[in-house]
Amino acid sequence: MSEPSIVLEAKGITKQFPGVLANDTVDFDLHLGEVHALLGENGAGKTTLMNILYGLYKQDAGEIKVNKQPIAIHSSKDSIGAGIGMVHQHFMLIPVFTVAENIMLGDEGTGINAGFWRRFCALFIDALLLTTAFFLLEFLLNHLGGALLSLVLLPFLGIILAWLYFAGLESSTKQATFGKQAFGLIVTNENGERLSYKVATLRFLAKILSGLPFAAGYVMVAFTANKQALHDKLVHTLVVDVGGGILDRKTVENRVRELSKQYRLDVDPTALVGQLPVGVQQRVEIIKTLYRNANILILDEPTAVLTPQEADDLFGIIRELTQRGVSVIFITHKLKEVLAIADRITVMRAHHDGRSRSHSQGGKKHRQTRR
Amino acid sequence: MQEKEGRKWWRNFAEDSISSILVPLLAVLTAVVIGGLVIALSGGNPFFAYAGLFEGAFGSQKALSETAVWATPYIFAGLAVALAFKGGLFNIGAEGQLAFGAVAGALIGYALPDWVGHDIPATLHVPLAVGAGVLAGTLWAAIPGMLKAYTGGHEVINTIMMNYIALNMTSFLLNGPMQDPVLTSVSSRTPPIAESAYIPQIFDGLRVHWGFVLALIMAVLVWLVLWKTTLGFEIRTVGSNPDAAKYAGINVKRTIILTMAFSGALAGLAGAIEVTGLNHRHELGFSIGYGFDAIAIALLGKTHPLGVVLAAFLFAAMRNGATRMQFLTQIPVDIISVIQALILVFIAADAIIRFIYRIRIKGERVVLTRGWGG
Amino acid sequence: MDWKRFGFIALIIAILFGTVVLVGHTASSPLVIITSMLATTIAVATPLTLGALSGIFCERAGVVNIGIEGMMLTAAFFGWLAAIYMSAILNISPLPCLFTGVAVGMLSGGLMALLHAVLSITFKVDQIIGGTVINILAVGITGFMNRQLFFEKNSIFGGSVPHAPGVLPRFSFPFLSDIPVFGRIFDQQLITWAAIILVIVVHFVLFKTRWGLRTRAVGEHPRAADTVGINVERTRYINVIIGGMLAGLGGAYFTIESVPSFEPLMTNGRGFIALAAMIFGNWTPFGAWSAALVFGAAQALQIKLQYFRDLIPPQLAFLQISYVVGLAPYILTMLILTGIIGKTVPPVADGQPYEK
Repeated sequence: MSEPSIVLEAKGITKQFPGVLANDTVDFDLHLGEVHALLGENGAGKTTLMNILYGLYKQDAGEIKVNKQPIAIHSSKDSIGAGIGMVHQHFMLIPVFTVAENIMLGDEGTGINAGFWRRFCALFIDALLLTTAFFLLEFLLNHLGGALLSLVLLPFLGIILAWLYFAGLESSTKQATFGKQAFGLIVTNENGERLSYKVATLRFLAKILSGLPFAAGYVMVAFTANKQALHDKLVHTLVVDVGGGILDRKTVENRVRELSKQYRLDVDPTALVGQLPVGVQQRVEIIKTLYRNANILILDEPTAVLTPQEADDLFGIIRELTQRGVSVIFITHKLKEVLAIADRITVMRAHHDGRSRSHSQGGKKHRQTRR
Repeated sequence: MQEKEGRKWWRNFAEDSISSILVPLLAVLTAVVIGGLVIALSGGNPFFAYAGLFEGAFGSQKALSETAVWATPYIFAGLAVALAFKGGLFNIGAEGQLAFGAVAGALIGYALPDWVGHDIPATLHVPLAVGAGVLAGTLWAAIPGMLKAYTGGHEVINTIMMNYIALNMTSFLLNGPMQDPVLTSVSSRTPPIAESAYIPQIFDGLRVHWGFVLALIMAVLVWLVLWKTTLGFEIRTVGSNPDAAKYAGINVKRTIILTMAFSGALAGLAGAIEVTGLNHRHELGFSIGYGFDAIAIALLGKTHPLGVVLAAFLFAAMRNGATRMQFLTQIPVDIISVIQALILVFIAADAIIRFIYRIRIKGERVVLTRGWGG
Repeated sequence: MDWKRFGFIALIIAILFGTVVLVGHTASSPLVIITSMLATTIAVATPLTLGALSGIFCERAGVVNIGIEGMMLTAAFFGWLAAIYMSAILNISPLPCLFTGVAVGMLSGGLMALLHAVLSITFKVDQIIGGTVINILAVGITGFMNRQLFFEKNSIFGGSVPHAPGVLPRFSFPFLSDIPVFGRIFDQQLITWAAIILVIVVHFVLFKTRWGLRTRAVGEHPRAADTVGINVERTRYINVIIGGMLAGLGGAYFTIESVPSFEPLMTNGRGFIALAAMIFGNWTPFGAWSAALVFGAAQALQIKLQYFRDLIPPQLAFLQISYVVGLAPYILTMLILTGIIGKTVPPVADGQPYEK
């Protein structure tokens, strides 16, 4: 009987709120491909523990390990990065957005950088920004001294670049890794597709350019470089930057369709979330985590909002997920559901007792030694 | 100011007063200091300026009387805005309601004797003129009230729009049907009202009139209505929680309309009292700025009638003293607007004041207004 | 945009244009009147359009901004001040002065917006109160400085208003402006062009870009945005400041494009009408623009009737009174807010501070 591989381990987690000790040295672990039910009354600290794992709260004490590596979770970004996904009891979905928009939110991908949109961007910027900018520049050069010129141009450039900067910087960390990849000559985008070296290098350059104290940089370029070079640089910078900021719905929709098919979730990426039944909305939430490559899935009271039929469907989906290597934490206070789906059970008691107990259930669900 | 059970009312009152007056006081102080900096930056001496301001506001019997004269419309208008706040409504339209109150008061004041063909005794004429002003203000405010109650149109934009409509219509009336036939350099004004419609002065030779006393009485009345009557309870309930009010069986729509109407009545009263007590005619432009000042006064007074009276006095003193200040130090009176705006900034964001002065305050945040989602 | 609303817009515009044609048809051909009315409409709709775009940026991110009026007024004053300072004191040729004026206007609008952001996002002040504070502050500051700089003898301008550097030049759209009669529409001043371009740009930013998606998410469901790692407060801050800059551009219209002078309170409620345009346009750039054009048409009517005032027939005598015709935009605004011309749906989290 081999040891099951532990994908997530939380040791000695303590969380104190003003007046309440929500978690007192709680231990918890999750094995690969299992459904681990977390059972307990309201106020037992289940949600607090999960919110700590998902980066919404920071624990006062204790250690979290993912795949045996200790990690520091400061925000949900860190958790997502570690492969943890959470489906909240109250869905974090925006009703007026489509399924694809909801899923891509916060992780929109590299944006549009090829084909029609790329040409469109180049044209748009060529026509609109540069012609006007150069007419203005030439005009001002004829009418003004250099010092005043910068006075006039700085606010304008500042505004344009500030926007680019903030629009672009959202995914700066990702872009940075991307840059390293470019130098290491592993040129792929986030989805693992190969990109041309030219595009990758340009992206990297663009990021550096827009990430620098931008206004100064641009004004310097404006005074030193010859016009053609400046023109080219600006076009490329802007194409790549703006292109990176433009949503690529098609790619995301295809990816959602793929995931939907792969895990038999049956979700139409172009539908408006607000018009979907609750059960389907929940599946959108699940795809949202899968889209972010989550292999640890936290389901917080997932059946509370579902009809019995929808709950059965959900159990089917959970089994499908675990067979494909996703490990699931299933939070509930309904014992019946636990018996139906869980491989292992942890019961959390009210905080004064503190330590959560973990004991396995027998019967047909006693499978934690299976692997 | 909910009653806390089992404690002496005066003790609650004292504690509430201290904790609720501290932040406004510090807000005023901070704004005055910053205003002083602005004066210094623009080349003036803030100490001379403020000394002039103080002298102009409190330096003599006449100065005190003038401060009370300024305070009179401020109290009415401030009460109007504060009452609406209590009902969860933001009445930015006090200015338009006040203008129409003044127009109606002036109309009855100068035209009624002609209509009936003979003089009217003051005991009848004054109430009629003031009553007309109240009615005009009430109706003008009831329109946005009804729009809010029945269509959900947000009262903020509606009352602002009604301000501009009132301004345009007053301009039209004062340059057309109601224009003073005796043409002077000031053309946009009504004829003078009949002497029988004058509100008498309290002291001979000082301009402060009985309207000032009426303002103080109104403050007490508003307090009584808000905290001692069923209607007041309904208004406050709708203001703090319309859903709860609905479940408690309160007719929310009716209450909204009534709140706006009462608010408009007070604003209209401000206009009518100014006409009958002070100016004895209505001039275009006199009402401009009162609406915003009234909002500032209501917020500075924490929407409590007593607070409103105090805040109104402060604003009146500043407005009144500013003329003297400008005469003595050439600092434009408009600095007062800057100081008032700053007071409002610090009142609105009392967290800033608490941060500066390290004050901890219990008590919950009061929701004054809501978004567009009506 | 649904048909009801489109029909309403078409109807109002037809009535407004029809009135002018009716009055002026003896003086010039209907085509000429309609064209010139259209040109004026587009021009006077500019501050409304920019104000509405400003509102869209703020409210799509969940921050109600009724301080647009104040931001415009501030920008109108400081933009003009910068332009007039450069031209009168530094003796610089007009055009650079005007461009700087526009930039300074945008900057001052952005600064006012920063204050609104601090109040409503950081200090979680009631956002409508916050906006009112902005409006009152703007009246105070511009009034004070106007008096201090231009009516006090010891100021740098010596107590009088110096000669202004004029207004922004017109830009004729190549080819289109050469069309006989209709070409007049394509001959507009620079901020007007900028406003039209910005309508397209804002639409694109809002609905086609990552930033727009995140902005809308923050305005609809900030917690959802937070759980996927979007910084709600920062997103709101940036949007409010961008909005303030747009309002500032709209403010610059008054003193740098429309007339070369400043008067206290000169924005005259345009910021609030812009908000109504935004609401009627259902928080979309093109919808807001079309609503702004309706208001613009109402204002253009006033201007054109002034021009044709000798031709107004006696049975339409009330049209001679500019105060009566001037009411049209305000009444329209109230009518629109009743929602009888189609219900509008604000962003769900509009006006609500985000509590973690």
